[in-house]
Amino acid sequence: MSSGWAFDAALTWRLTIAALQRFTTQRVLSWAWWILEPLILITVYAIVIGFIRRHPIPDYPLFLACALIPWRWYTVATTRGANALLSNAGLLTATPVNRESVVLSEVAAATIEALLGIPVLLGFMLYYGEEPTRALLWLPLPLIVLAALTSGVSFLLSPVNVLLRDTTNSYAASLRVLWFLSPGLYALREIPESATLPGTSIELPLQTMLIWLNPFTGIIEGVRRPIVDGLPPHWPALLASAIWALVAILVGRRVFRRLADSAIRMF
Amino acid sequence: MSVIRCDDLGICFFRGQPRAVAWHGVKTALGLNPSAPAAGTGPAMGASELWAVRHVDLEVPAGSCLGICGPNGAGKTTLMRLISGIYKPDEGSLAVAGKTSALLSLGIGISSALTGRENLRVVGALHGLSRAEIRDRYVEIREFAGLDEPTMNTPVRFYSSGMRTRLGFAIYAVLTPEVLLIDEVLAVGDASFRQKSAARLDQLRERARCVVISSHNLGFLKDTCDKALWLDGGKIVAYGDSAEVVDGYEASTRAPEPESAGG
Repeated sequence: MSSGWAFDAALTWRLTIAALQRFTTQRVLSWAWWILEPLILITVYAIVIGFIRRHPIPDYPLFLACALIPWRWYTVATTRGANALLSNAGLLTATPVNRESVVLSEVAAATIEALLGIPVLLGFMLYYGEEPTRALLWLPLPLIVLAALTSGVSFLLSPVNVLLRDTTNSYAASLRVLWFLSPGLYALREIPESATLPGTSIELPLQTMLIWLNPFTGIIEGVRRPIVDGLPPHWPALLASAIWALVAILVGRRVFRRLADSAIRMF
Repeated sequence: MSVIRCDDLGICFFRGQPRAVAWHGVKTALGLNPSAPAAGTGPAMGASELWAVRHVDLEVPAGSCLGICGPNGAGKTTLMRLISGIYKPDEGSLAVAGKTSALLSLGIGISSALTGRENLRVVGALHGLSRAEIRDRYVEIREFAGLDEPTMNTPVRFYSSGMRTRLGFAIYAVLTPEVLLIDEVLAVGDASFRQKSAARLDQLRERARCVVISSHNLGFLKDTCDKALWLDGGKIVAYGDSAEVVDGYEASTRAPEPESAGG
């Protein structure tokens, strides 16, 4: 029998496998769905935007896919992470299981599923005739930042969601807002450097704000630039994302440790 | 030497309207409710405190088998959850010496979408068994559960509830916990499995340093346990020799006094 750290790591892994198996064993196409879903998503955008409506940005479906794949990863993983304690209430009240393991296993399972979207993205890159360059070697960097951000946010939300179920609703609403505030549908360079706040003389440095206040700017540009432009990530933006991810992990863990006990008593 | 030692142990829950309870929980967690863990006063926004277990002083010596009895809502399950480490106490202290295993409900960690075999790996991991350990002792576990190989490779949603229960308990065929906590779960399965689980429980009891059983089956408690604890309203009514304590509790249930403890 193992104990302590090794025990928790083994348990997290086993719960992750179980979460993946729960999905695959019930479906005929099994894990192929994790490739098919992003494939369908990008194809639909490619047809709707690429053929029906021309867009000024070249290869707009690929441009969009570079944002949609990490964005879908984030939303699916954090939504599952936020529900991790609630959906495992029976387990948590019957055995002194490590609560962090329960949350991490949900996030890890969603992350493994989402990782299969990356080859799909690279496939579309070749389809659109983009040459694979050495810049692709930078791709793991924004993905690691994304994984860290995802787990931090999940730790933060999962106990809060038990105490206040409104969290699910308000988080879903804020995700929608965040998507439009992220350079997903548009490019960072399309945003004017500064703009005047309507009705006032206050100048807002829009681009700088987008880079430093939105963790998704660095992640999306970090995926898009190596794939579409053959360039390394936008470093200041990726640094900002990494800082946000670090803050999310530190705050998330702290909140989790503080609230998890109260949360489990609510079951 | 005592294996379980509780000093003035207490844990507080909130009751009331869901909205009030939620706010109270958030405020307490954020440290904005100065009254919460301290004195038993000060209902906030309609949520009142409920001490499910309070002022419990208990020493369970090594080698003993403790039975817990009491009416519904007495705090039996809460005390078990405290001892197992699921809940953290708000008051007092708790020390448990040895590797603890809690059998508070059957089928913990079992998902109906997974096969029996896949579920065993999860249940094993919950008890600290590696995949290799489960593999090495797989046949032993399977035979204890009384499930054949095709069944083990079938998703649990096709199992009967008895088969599910047997699978949940089967891991105890290979576990040897030092402190074993059992909450009224063994009265399940068919006669032969009940016999087998009772026999295995005897073995576990012999090897364990301490066993705690909570049950409404008073005859079972008297036969199985050497010590008993009578709880009511989260407080200890009596603790001592199992026959005496259980008889005392039994007598109290037969002749309800006009001024019984309203918990």
